[in-house]
Amino acid sequence: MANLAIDAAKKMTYDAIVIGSGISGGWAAKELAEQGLKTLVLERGRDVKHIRDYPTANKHPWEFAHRGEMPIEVRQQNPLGSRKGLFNEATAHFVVKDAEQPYIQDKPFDWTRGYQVGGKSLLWARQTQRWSDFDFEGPARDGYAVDWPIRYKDLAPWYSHVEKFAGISGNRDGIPQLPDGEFLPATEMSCIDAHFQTQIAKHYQDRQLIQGRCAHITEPQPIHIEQGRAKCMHRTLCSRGCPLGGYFCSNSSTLPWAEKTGNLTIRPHSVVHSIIYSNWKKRAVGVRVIDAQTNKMMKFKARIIFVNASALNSNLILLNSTSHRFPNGLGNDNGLLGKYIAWHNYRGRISAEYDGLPDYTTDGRTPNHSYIPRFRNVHRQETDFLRGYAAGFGGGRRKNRSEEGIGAQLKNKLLNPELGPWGVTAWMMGEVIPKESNQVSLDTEHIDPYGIPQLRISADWDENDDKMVQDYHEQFTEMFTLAGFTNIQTRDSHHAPGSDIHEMGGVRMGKDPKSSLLNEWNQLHACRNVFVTDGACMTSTGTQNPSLTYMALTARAAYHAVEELKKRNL
Amino acid sequence: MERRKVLKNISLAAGGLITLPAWAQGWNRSSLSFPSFLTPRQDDLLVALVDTIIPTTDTPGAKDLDIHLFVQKMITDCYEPEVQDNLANGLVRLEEMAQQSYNTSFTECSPVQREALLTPWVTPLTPALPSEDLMASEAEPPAFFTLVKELTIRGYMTSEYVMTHHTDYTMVPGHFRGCVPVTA
Repeated sequence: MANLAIDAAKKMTYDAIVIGSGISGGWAAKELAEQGLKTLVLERGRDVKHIRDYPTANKHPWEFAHRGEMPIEVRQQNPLGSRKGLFNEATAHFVVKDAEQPYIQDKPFDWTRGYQVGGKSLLWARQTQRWSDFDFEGPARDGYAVDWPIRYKDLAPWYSHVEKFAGISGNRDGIPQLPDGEFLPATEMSCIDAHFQTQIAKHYQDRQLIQGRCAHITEPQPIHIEQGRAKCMHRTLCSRGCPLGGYFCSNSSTLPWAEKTGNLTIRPHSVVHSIIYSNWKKRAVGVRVIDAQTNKMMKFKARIIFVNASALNSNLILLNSTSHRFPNGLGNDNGLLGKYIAWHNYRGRISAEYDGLPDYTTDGRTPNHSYIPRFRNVHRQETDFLRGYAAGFGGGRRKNRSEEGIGAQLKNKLLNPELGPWGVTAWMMGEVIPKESNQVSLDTEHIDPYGIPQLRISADWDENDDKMVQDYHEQFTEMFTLAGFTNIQTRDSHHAPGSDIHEMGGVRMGKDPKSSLLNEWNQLHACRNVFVTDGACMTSTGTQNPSLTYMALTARAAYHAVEELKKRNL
Repeated sequence: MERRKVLKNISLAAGGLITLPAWAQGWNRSSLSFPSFLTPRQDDLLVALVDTIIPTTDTPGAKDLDIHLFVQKMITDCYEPEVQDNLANGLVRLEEMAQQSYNTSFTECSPVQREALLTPWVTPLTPALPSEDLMASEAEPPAFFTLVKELTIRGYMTSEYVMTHHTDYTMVPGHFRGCVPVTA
């Protein structure tokens, strides 16, 4: 009997706990398990096994009962979920249903979540750009947010580390504000992109168009084949899950790799309630979990805890981790936990047509697009708004299909569409300035289905964002005009934040415990065995797609954690 | 080695289809035997309507590809209940128009007669109206017709037949070439 109790306690005790199995949690799991730590990954959603649980991956358009459209009953049950582009028959099973986790919007916020093993790594845009010191030094230069405790040189080897394993394609472009990485061959650029590239080079000293750097395997290396992953076959059905493992996600890469060590346990349906802090031991000793299937609370213990629950949920968990020592949330001595939330500004879009290159078109499909690195306020402050924006760019020729008339005439038009001119679109990715007023907190009245306080989100655009959209439209109208594009149309969507997805901050890194929550190794200043390495740790947002930086920060922090454990400092 | 792994992965993925949620199941004639909100008579009218919008020529038309079933499936599952009533009423109205103009059922009308009946809705500016009484007030095509036409086109263009015989659909292109000459 006594032995059974000891066995049970053993099953609840690990060297490390990782909260979340998305892009950063997967990396924490891989690095820690590889270093020999018995690691428990807690995932609040269901299990999604690579290939087995991609039910729509090989379905043809005509195999969807409603050709993609969701039944009205499901839409009515999920007014928030229905706003997501992924809420269609091919991918709706990866969209969080409204009832799963209600939250309070002080201002409209379209929170985008992915609650399943793999998290949003199944659904991401797969664009992977390194930060440069122009990004890390932004806050120190203009005084918004605090200075980052690290610089590019601290992260560079870790970028290399994760890039080689994940498989990143791209060109070595030699652009100071977008450092080169460990690249597989780049994907092919279309002639409209090449035309725009030449025109930009002709008219501007400070601007470049490059082929996007993306997490698609263009030429598998032994490390990818060892993961069971193959070359991207240009299906561009990525967010259904890729049976080939052609793009990087936790499910096809880091998690099975970690499992192979024999040190990993993944526990789905585990909603983390809070982290347990011991006043006596002066450190975190484990986590409280609500089993989503039984609704029972359980406790798991570990020597170190990685918080990778996705930016806002990591904030929620820390805010809900109260103790005698930390009445306002774990590590929250300065009252800044949950504050200085920021994200990326995707409001601005510009599209046009091009009558040139009439004799050429494209063939096949590309999972990638072109990229224009940030060119505003890079070397010095030159505009009336702070920071800058990067842009994605893509183009192609559409077949114009007339739907006029009825009968044989209509049928003939439908089956014989005319090849239209080149169409191009560019979309901005602007840096949003972290401000104290953009914040999350716990609601004091409302709880979610697991008895956890609901997250109250208060975030909105400001004048800096508006000016940035305006400048983006002005600059790109000029660039498009110089390139000979016609019928130029600009659009500011004015959408609510949240659908931009890249929310960051709330548990920011910094040098000073008085003005930040995490140190240079992503450890809570006041509770060193808790590491936060997802978007919540970000001091500022840069203009790059953030996932690659989360991966590098996570691998670096995991390495440090293991070193500290060896030295018995944790 | 790599290729074998890929093939294995693809076949595994195909096996995964059995875990499909109900709404994601593919459909065919037999799986579409859902309870219809249309009477058998109205159902015949809908068949004739989609057949008029995209008729059988030297290639299959909407009727041959069971697009009327797709239209019903969509209106049953994806629209407010009143849209079902609207369609049923619209079909009845279409039948009345046929009786008034040609003294026979819409389903018995010749293709030319059927197209003539629908023409005012397709090109609202056409002055020649088949029946002054019924059509004079029609500035815009009725909602039921616009919806049926839209769904018929969607169902037809995304049908297996059209996608595999007439459009360049392929699930696995395997490549992207950014600059190729336009072929006639």
